[in-house]
Amino acid sequence: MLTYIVRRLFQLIVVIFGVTIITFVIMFLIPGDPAQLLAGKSPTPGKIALIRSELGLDKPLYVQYTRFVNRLAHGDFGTSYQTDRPVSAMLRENIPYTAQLALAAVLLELIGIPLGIYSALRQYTFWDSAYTTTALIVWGIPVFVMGLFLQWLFGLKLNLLPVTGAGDLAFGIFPNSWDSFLHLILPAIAIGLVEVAYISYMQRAAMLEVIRSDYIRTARAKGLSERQVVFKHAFKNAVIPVMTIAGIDLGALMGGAIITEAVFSRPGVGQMIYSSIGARDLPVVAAGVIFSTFVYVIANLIVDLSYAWVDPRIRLEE
Amino acid sequence: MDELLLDVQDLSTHFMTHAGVVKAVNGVSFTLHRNETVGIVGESGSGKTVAALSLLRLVPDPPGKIVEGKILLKGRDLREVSNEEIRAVRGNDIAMIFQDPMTSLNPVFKVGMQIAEAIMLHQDKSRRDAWRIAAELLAKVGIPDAESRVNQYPFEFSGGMRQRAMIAMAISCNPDILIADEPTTALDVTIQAQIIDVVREMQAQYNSGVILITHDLGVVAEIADKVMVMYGGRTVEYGPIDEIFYNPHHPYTWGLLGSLPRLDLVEKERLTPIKGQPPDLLMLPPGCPFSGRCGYERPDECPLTMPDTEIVGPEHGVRCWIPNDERVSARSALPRFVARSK
Ligand SMILES: Nc1ncnc2c1ncn2[C@@H]1O[C@H](COP(=O)(O)OP(=O)(O)OP(=O)(O)O)[C@@H](O)[C@H]1O
Ligand SMILES: [Mg+2]
Repeated sequence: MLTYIVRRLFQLIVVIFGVTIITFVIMFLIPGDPAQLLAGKSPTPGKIALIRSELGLDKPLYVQYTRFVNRLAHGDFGTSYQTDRPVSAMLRENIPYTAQLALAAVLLELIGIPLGIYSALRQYTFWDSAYTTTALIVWGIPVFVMGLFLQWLFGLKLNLLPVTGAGDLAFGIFPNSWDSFLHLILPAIAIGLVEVAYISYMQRAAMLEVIRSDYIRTARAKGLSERQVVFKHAFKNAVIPVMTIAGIDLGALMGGAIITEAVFSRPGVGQMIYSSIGARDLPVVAAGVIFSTFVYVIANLIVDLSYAWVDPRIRLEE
Repeated sequence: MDELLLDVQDLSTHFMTHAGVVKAVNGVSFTLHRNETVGIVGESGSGKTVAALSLLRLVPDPPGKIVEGKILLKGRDLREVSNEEIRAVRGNDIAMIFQDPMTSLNPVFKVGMQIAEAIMLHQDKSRRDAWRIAAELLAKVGIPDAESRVNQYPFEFSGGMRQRAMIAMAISCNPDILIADEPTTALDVTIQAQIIDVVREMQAQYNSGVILITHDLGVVAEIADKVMVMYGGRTVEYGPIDEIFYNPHHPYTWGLLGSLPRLDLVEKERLTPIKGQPPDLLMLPPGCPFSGRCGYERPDECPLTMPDTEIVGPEHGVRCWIPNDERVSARSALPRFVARSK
């Protein structure tokens, strides 16, 4: 098990190399020159050249990349082209907002599990068909459309909840004031609702399959009550496939967070990446991408470990 | 005769599907006594499993429903009792071993726990005692190293061992009745014989009645006292084992016996499979389900109404429109049967 974790962490380093190289190449290929953007309204060729050599942009791409990796190895993310501030400080400021949003979305996503199970146990009823249809529709809604709709409904029409920003300063991964909690609600729903629909649909399908399986019949034939059959014998088996799906789906969740932060003008790593792409602010974009990759890989590792914890077939095979 | 354990009268179980009503079990009756083994034979889809599941009210509902009949367990009709009461019967009075040992155990729980669970449920035993009993049972059904095996998961067991574990689970509460639904079909031949032996030993030890479902008449010949032959959800013939083997009256039974390899014949005789397809349970004729495939049928009688049971020997009944004497002469013309009659 330990060697497995070590191997996965090693993989993480390789993946980070991969995504940073891709980020560099893409940023290099897309049109737009950061030096030109920074030179202001009346750029002179001399001024642009000066900025370019200051930032090291006159060097070939591989030199820029090697420098970047070298700094990264010393824990230095570099400085922002745009603000001239250390990127690590920007990350530190933005991470709590995104962490809050992601955590809220994941917690919301978990509601899908009981919903799916409930629906499966009431198969063939009106409730089940109504819920399944709704879930399928919601599942098809893009995150930004959902975000705009929620802003329109709860902000403009009903005037119930704040639709932009993140409220008071956030310090940890939990909202530290009522105001920041209120600001979290709509963005979290914008990401989370689609996930709830998706997870509950998958959970329903998994439960329906398990409940028809032979070992559930064995459990009933023993004389166990329906409660024990469902919550002891069926639940553990039905939640295993959903855990895998949820793990894979983390990518969508991260993408959703970036879009949602942009839609709600909410500070966070997504917003940070989003605005620095516009300014061709390579160090900030790269740092944001590394952070997302890191979270994604670690979260997947946690999912895999808990998967092994639930399923003895995986735990015991080395 | 030993105590009458089970008296099934006119049992019918249907599935209400979108395509129509699937009449999986149609007016089946039989009795089971202590120390007795009843074999239920019939080809795939004849309703054997559904009949057995009906006894425990385990048929999935919807779409399945027991629409008719009585299931008298020592005189008490299991169709009438509450859900709570039927749960107390399951695993305790009537236990069942299923067709496929590879999928019948829960993959994420230890084997010991799955056995101990039944013990704790029906008997007043602590967790520790239940686990100890589980290990003893595993040893009893012939699993070596039972002490450590209780702590393993089903995927660490071979198919034969899983079926032994299922048997251990089934006998854990000394049930009066043990239903074994094709307990050996999924296993290879040497293991099959061992499993049948285990079932037989357990029956001897606990004086239970056994219902053995199979399409292997060889297994039936070995351990059953009586046989019920099912076709298209109906009992077409029943009787003591010798009667069925040496005095079969239903053309379908002849077919089954014809497809049985025989060790007492010198030559490797060719097996004659029954011609035609099993019936479509959605479109059963109102009469005999075997009509159309039978070969001896009377088109103006057989498909229209089901004949009543005719007694043709001691405890031996058959449901067939062909008059008795014609049946006997038709039978004596069958090549295999000539060799069989003593
Ligand atoms: N859940 C269900 N819904 C609809 N029809 C069903 C259901 N379960 C069983 N049946 C039908 O009932 C009929 C009898 O099935 P059953 O499993 O009892 O056959 P069997 O005699 O046990 O066959 P086998 O030897 O293959 O196990 C089959 O035709 C099957 O299609
Ligand atoms: Mg069957």
